[in-house]
Amino acid sequence: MEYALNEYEKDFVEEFHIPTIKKQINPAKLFGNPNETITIRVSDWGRDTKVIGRTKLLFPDTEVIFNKLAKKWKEETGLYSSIHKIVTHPLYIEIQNMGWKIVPFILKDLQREPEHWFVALQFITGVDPIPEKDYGNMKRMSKAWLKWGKEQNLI
Amino acid sequence: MGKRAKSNLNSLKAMHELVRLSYLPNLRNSTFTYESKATKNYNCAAWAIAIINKAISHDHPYNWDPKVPRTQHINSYIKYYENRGFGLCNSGKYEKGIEKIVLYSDEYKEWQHVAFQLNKKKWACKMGNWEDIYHNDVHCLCGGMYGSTLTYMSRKFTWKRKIKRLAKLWWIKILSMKS
Repeated sequence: MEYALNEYEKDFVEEFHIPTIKKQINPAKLFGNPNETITIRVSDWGRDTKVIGRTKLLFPDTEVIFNKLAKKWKEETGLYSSIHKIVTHPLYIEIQNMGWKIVPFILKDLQREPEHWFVALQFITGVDPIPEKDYGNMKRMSKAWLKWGKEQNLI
Repeated sequence: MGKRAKSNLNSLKAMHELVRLSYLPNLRNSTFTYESKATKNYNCAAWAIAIINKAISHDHPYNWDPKVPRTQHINSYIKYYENRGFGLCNSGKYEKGIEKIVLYSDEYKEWQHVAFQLNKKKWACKMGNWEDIYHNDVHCLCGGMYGSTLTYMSRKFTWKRKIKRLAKLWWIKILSMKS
């Protein structure tokens, strides 16, 4: 299942260098159904989100997909010393490009333990609730985002 | 700790070990020891200057020096440490009263990792989001995901810095004994 971009959307992607993701997922690995394959193509751009493609998810639960991707991302980037490499990993970009619907799950993950979700959260929501003095402090940055999430009724 | 939790922890450690050795092939032939529990509270860039409550990165919103360009280029990280009193030096040979760090970068001159000299024989660093390790040779982390180019930097080891470093080392030991 694939969504084709029209001419206007192609120009938009090229002009703004928007990350697009086209990933073949074999559901046999994820959900044990070997007969289905699915193509996900999503693209977001900061606060003024422009959905260029459509995320055609046959799966009922976004949380399941998020957990799978996040787990894999954590495993693959665990040894990276460069935070830049961690937050530009293809799986991170894929999660980030899922847009607003993923925010509650990211916040839920932050509740479990501090994690490098701050770049994605800021990219999706366009807000920065972290006081400047707390930049770099994982625990305090998580707290600031969780406080914001509660104010927005997202968690 | 329950039996199940303990076995999960062991399998997690085994997985860490596998990934570590496959990403850093030269570690196979060298001696290294684990010296802390895995934590995300600080990273190697912070630990090199004895900071254990912040992660340092040029990415927003991490801790960074506003006077240094926000790029992954090795020169940005050299400048970052220069602003903290370090200067470039030729080798990682132990010198009394001198604190040394080594910056790892890849073929694109992108900073990847940093380790610091602990004493005459040992170097120490934090492996990404995982544990701190002590290793005998700076080259054992070369040739894999941390790149192969080494940049040595040094500064005078004042008593204040020494005490700060020792206190942090002890604190990390205590935390890892608790877990």
